Amino acid sequence: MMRRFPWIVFGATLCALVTFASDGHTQVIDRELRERGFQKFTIALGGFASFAMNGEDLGKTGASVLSNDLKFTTVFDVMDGAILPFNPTTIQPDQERVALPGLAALKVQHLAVGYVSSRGREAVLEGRLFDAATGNMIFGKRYVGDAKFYRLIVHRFADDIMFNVTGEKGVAQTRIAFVSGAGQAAKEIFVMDYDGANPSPLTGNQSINLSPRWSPDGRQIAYTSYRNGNPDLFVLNFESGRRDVLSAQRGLNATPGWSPDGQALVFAMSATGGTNLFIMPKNGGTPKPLTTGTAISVSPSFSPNGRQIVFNSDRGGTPQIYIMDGDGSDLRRLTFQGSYNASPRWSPRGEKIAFMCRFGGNQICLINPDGSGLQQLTSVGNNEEPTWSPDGRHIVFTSTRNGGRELYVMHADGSEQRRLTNNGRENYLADWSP
Amino acid sequence: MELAGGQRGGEGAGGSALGYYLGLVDYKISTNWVPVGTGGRDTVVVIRFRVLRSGQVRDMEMETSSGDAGLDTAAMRAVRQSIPLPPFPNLLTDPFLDLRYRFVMERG
Repeated sequence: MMRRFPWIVFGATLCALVTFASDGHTQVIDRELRERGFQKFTIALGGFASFAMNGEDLGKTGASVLSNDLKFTTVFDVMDGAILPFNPTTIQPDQERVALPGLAALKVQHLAVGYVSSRGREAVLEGRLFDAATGNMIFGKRYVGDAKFYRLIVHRFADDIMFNVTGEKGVAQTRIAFVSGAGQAAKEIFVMDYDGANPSPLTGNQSINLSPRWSPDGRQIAYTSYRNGNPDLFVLNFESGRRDVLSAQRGLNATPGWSPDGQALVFAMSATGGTNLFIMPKNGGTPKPLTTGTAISVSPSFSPNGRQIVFNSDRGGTPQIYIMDGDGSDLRRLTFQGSYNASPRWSPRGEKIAFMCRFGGNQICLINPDGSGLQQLTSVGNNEEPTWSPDGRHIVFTSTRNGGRELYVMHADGSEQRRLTNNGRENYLADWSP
Repeated sequence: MELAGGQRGGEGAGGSALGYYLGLVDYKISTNWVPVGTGGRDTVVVIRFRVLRSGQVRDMEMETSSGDAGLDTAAMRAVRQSIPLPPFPNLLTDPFLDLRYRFVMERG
């Protein structure tokens, strides 16, 4: 038992700093608790009894999706059903509390239970979360939706568990846009669930489509397409289904990056000599130059506060990462190690920048916005084009470690690297939705 | 804990009773503190509250936020889930104690 749950039995080290004022009771006694490293919330899953619908066991699928969602958060340790003092699938509605003392004795903190049923063509998931120590139900919610979107229903339950336990928004309902194609054939933009399920095409124009970028509200995607022969910049609106040309200057209109308020896009244009970054209102207008000269500047990414832009430029002779203010002023070089650094992405919390660094092969690196703290996260094969999950806990990237280009995901510290795509095509240039 | 006895002079065993009691409170709150998060800097959450003789807590407030909603919630939850705190031992004569807890998460 102690081996299995050391982090909750005596996780915190105590360090008491006691100070007193000399006068009576107005004094405040200062105490300090320290924790090194990370602890996880322990959770057991129950319910999800077998329920067949459209030839699928929604109970089995639900337990599997929920378990994977919770493990992916890096916050939960999901207990193996085999070590529980009861058969998880036999838990009945309103009888859950019977199971809680046994879980509490095992130092399991939470029990999440799902009951699956149907209503016509809709799948119904009754989700409940319990605190094992107090016996209280933390929340109970009924999730209803077309059975085709059953995985999404379970993702919603997972995000609600995450939010209720940690106060933090989960990413189980997020999606990933990417480019997919085979050989010399068309390269189309696809969108899939964050876990790689449900891939579906966003473009089908049989040309080359690149660099999808979600708007901060998730309702639009900007991308570059050769559908009219020239690499033009488009914005696709999901609600209206409209695809508007934002910029179609001769030459490149590429590598868009949204401002955090969603009102403007910065992108690279080559019409005026060199390849420079321009900023433009999202509804069109006159592009305003942020960089000038004959060098190549591409791949802009805003800081989350919108004040700065990190980008890639060869103005110093080799491709390196640079930072400038949002109006193009105060330009400075960020990377000085390695002969090739590219594809920078500012983290959602602002404290890191992920980018492709070249140490031997191409790798994913992190650096602080002040140039300190360079850290290499990958080492196998070539790895490039990082994109952050909206909670900053994960990074999706392109890797050739198993041959062709495929999307992989890892924790933001480089651990737990695993493959996301496997469809016989090449998959790359990912962008994680908000 | 010699600080307690010395500076509170005149309360005799009250000092060591205080040290003993604070140890109980530290233990209870620490077992309910489950901070989580990914890398980055050290983070600190400071929570202040008054504990009454019964162990009930009043006037709980966060004096310093870590800037991370998850860590703030974890620290607040640690105190909330520890209520009621242990009642004062008889040798501890104060009507209440004002405590300020610094929850320090070390990273890297």
